[in-house]
Amino acid sequence: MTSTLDPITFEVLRHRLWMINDEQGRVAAQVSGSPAVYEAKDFNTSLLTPDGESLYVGIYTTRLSLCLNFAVKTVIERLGDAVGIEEGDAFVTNDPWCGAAHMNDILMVAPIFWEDRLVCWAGLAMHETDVGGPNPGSFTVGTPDVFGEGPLIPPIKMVERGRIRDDLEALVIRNSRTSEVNGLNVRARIAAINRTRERIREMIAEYGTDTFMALQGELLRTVGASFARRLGSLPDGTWRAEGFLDHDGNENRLYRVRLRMTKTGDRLEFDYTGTDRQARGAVNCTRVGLESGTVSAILPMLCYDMPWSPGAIMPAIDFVSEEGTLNNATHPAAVSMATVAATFATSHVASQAIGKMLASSDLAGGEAQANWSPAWQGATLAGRHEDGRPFTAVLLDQSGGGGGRAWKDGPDTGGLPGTPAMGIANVETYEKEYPILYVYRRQSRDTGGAGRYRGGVGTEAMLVPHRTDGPIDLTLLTHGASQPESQGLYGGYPSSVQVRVLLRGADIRARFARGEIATGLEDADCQAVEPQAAKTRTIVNEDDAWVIACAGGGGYGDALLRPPEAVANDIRAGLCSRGVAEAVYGVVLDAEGDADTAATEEARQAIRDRRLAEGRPFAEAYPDRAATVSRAPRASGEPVAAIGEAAVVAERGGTLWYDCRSCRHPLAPVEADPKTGASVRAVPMEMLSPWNRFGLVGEIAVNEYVCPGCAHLLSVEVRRAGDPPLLDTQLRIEPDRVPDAAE
Amino acid sequence: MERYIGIDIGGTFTDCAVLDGAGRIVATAKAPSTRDDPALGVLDAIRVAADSLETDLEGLLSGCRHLIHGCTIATNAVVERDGVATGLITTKGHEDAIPIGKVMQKVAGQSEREMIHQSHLDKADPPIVDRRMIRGVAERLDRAGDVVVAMDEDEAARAVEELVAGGARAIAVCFLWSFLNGEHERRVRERIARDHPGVYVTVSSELAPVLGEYERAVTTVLNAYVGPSVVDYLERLAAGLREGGYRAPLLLAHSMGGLTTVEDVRGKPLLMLDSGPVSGVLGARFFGAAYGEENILCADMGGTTFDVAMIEGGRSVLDEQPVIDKYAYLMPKVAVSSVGAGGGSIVWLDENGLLRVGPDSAGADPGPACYGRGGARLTVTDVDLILGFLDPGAFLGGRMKLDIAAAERAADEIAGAMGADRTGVASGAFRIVNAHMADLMRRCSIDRGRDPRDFVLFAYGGAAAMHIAYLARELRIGTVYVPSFAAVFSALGMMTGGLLHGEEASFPATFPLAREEWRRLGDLFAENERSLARLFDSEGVPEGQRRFERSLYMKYRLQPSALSVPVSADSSPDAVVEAFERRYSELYGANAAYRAAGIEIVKCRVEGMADTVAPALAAVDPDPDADPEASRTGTRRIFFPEIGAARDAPVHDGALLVPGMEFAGPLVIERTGDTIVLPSFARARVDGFGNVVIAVDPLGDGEGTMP
Repeated sequence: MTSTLDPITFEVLRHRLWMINDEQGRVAAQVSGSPAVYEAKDFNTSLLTPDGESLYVGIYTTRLSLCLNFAVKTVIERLGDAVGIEEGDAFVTNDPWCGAAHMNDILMVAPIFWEDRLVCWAGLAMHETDVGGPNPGSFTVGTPDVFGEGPLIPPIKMVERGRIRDDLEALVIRNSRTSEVNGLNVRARIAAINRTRERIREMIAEYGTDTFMALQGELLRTVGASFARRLGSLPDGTWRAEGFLDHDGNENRLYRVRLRMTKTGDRLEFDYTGTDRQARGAVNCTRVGLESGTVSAILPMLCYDMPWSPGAIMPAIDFVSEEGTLNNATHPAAVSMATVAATFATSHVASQAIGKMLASSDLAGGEAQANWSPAWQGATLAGRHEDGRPFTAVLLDQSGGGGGRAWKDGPDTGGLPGTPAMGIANVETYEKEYPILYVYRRQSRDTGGAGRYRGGVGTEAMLVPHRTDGPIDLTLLTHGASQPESQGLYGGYPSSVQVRVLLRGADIRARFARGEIATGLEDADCQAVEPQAAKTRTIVNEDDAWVIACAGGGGYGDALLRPPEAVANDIRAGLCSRGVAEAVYGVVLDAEGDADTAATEEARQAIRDRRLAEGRPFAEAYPDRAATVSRAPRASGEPVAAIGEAAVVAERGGTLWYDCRSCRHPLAPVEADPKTGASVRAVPMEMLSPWNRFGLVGEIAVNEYVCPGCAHLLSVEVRRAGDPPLLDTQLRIEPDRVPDAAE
Repeated sequence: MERYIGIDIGGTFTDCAVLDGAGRIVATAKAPSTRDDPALGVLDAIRVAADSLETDLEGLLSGCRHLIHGCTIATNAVVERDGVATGLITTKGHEDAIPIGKVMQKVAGQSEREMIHQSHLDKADPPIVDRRMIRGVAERLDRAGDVVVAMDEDEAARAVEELVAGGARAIAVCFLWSFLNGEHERRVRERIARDHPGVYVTVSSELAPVLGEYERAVTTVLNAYVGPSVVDYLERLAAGLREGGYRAPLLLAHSMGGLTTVEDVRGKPLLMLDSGPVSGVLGARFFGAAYGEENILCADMGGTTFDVAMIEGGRSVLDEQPVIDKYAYLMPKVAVSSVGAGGGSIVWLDENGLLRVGPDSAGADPGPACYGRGGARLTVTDVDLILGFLDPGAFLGGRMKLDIAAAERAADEIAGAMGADRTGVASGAFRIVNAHMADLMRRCSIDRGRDPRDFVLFAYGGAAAMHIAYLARELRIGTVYVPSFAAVFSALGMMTGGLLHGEEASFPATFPLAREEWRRLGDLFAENERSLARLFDSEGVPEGQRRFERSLYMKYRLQPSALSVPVSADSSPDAVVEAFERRYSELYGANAAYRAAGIEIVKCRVEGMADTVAPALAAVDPDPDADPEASRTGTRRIFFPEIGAARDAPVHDGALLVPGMEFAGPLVIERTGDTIVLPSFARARVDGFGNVVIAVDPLGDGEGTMP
């Protein structure tokens, strides 16, 4: 600690600086005119060192957490000498190779000076409804590369010594279909930065520049130390996760994001080697998306009790990635969907791997959580109101659910991961602005993954055009429409697929006239039911309706261990169907709708019997992957570690083994993956949720790994048919841990 | 004999203050609160006050012109989920609006610290209305208020019957777009009134006629949920008071920052929700008016939290969308911001060896280490004791002995780990907790586009007076008021309030307004005023004492929240737009306004006010020759952080203060309810109300602002 900063002053100023960054976000959200900002919180703020290291990042969309530091570094490097950086300046960019996550995010960063010295930077990244290009909403379906998307704005100095350059502001908003709102949002960024500048200057006036600079160094050091301790408290090991991104905007194919995460001491490595090459379509993200996506899993899962300071944690994180891949795309890859595609998928696999690490962290696994929803379900609309006025809308009206936890279900309609403050707007808010009508919006049955603690469900809604003039040009985008993408954790089942169905020539309006309101897909009679692939652009006519159901979170632990009365309650609340209750949970209801204990016990035993009867030993199913191990030594000691609900690690004959957590049947030596001692069987994905019939049935395999001793479900994986098993868990327990095991 | 009584129910005590016709405080009293039937505690407190006036309950009540009351029934009902079984009837297809809670429910009203803990985010649990008690009815309006689906009357009837059969004692009705056309809601209400007259009904188009089905439904349900309990209680209390001889209507302090009658609360019991902090704010506003201070930050520091409310331009700042227990609702309420910084806040060392304070609190049990109830961790109260601000023998007027050795042990443990000394830990923690409170105050004022230096501070609550001068210096605020009668300040404060009623109506419109629209708006205002006038009639308020204020809620198109802009009957549209843009740039700074987006009206609001019902508090003339030494009772060794050393400082007895006395720090003034710390950079005087006015020299090297 430097002489200018005693620990008390540090604590006082640390808190004050955090409040200043938070105020940036509050001001921006108040001023902004776009629901993407004030409801969905699709923006973020940061305070940065003079070199562009992020001191604090806001609690809004963490998938944008490193954008501002990339942007400041780019500005310093490219414009520092050429254009100059002065008091009162503010720079703007939306270029994904200069810090933006995708073109829709317009970044503004501003240097803050005190007596001619650059003391820090402040900045905001904020999603705009539309930034031009061929597709309303600027998520571009149908382009092979970046030249077919909204225009790029490399960093420009839009505010010069406190004066807005009108010519450049016009450039920033001119190409947009929603230039009014974009203009308002430019003002929101300026208002927020004005506020920050005042507050920082106040602080320096009070405490002096030396103290302010020392504060920054000390902040990075202490948060870095907290993060190192957090990592040090977790077991060493390697965890793998894979996710699929379906549809590239041109072609419905599956892209794989592959992660091998290794934790050693106080370091964490994310190795994305093996991820598919960049796509000929808008789903890619650049390196900033790869790193931000990863950090967006780290902050809420590992930094839940410390300030969010990316600059402090980045030194402990290593990235390995090949250029030219889906999440490290090179120019001229198309990237307009990055935040909802490759960046989100990166965050998703990183969350999976971290979830597995946390589930292995102690016998209770209190912080472990299965995947939240895999992706946003976006809808952009363009058309005309009945009076002929044009409109362009991005609907942020739907959301998924949270992942099951080691101690509780995931929150229903809990939102998206890494975005704690996000919300969805009221139905009335959208109906007021746009010519649409929500026939229903509700919590969607069977969208969360089953488990002892189930994943929270997502939302579901049916919309129809209302008081339009002509058709609506509708673009739908998400991923996970082909495959259940939110993975369960150690025995938990995955969520449903993401559903988007167009009902052509539906009788919704005729029903209205009869005084009836449809409350589900099955309530509408129509000429055609058209399930939509993950990215779609289509025309919606007055008689058409569309239904979107969002995947929820993954489940935690074996569904057969869920208390039957909890399943009965889910059925009453419309969160689980009787079909899934019987097939997946083995819960049978009596005439009153309560769980029938005897029938349930019978049904559960039947499921266990089937698991064992249909399962094949791992070594037989995957002879080339099986570990060559002799028989397990007999006696098993006290557990020294647990792998979620699935297994425990215990000593057997001087070596460490994975035992089934339920019956202590030996599974595999600790050097191998517990799955290698399991029985494997494939289950039809339609069994897990009726929604899954809309996915790529036949091309996706859902595999269960069960204990050969007691049929306890250890793991469920979603693979492309024909994929090898995902050996995802490899603990490295030091040999000297064994004698201490009993403690 | 003419009397005015103020009664405030707190968690532990029910407080009572009595004024005479000249505004003199003639009695103060406390009685234990009675949880099961709070009305008993109220009558007990009045009896205690009557005793001290050498009369009995009947004697005091029969001479009472107005009895003003603040209660926590509604708040308790929500926080403890102790309201009646409530059903919700809503538009079919939208039954899940409350369970979905705009997804945001999981973080509504939470601190950043809670929000970043992703694995621990959950929605309100248990929900305020059970999903099985929500019924959808086929009916639908659109954004024009036109009927898209006619209401299915049979289904509505079935819904009512099922809910009543399911045990509902209250029913909320909230349909989509009903704020534009309340016909369907009215029909359901009439049906319930006819078939089930005992069931309490609230309909959204009357209670909160504004856009946003989630918040509107929550508001309607909350109102129904607390309604029967609040109404039952008030009727029981009114009966008890009548029996005791009280003749006038019972007046109630409500959360909007004024008083109202039982008649008004019957339909809007939600007015009573979270009304606790209002009385203190009313008191501060009253004194502010007496002092000519229009901008006041009200600081209430108790055992677990530090609460801040604001008075701006003489008016309480309202929160248009307050949150209770993760539910956002639409009933404007005096805005209160809180941070976990109170006497019980725990002082601790984090993993980096840095000293931290709060937000965890030792609460009242086990409480601070010095309470000797088994708490071993250092708290802010222990710190105050170690520094010498508190006298171990004089806490709560000597009723509770503090164990200083226990406090010192707790501090030494941290000091040892930190490599600092005990005093260093104590003064460090003192500085940190003050800074956290200052950060909160900065945020409150800055959120309103204001500089904290434009405000004076008003401090109450048991722990505030020890910290407030330091807090003021941190914020560069020159003047602090610490009211007398701190122990019953809320009961006193509510007697300084006037009647205040609000009436809102949705009025979606975009500028420029057609002449016809502007005229319609004028009619709507007039109609709202008439409705308030009827309420005043029922309350017997003479016309001459009524005032009406109109305001419009305006925003740039597409923005989420609107600003309130005062208007008068002869305002022009241009003037209104100009006023809006002026206020907007005050809040968000130059360059932030963006007229190209379009300017909209969201709703209009009328407030009806009638003057204070109790006489203004009386002040005596300060005695210029009052000798401060007359109140001095001794000296004590006190460590003043700004001096950096302990010294023998004078101790004064609050009971011996006389208006006109002046003091220069460093010293302390011990009162029954609290201790005022006057640091070396502050001076104080006792004013005619007996309040202590502190002038803080903001930089420590000049004069403070003594008004």
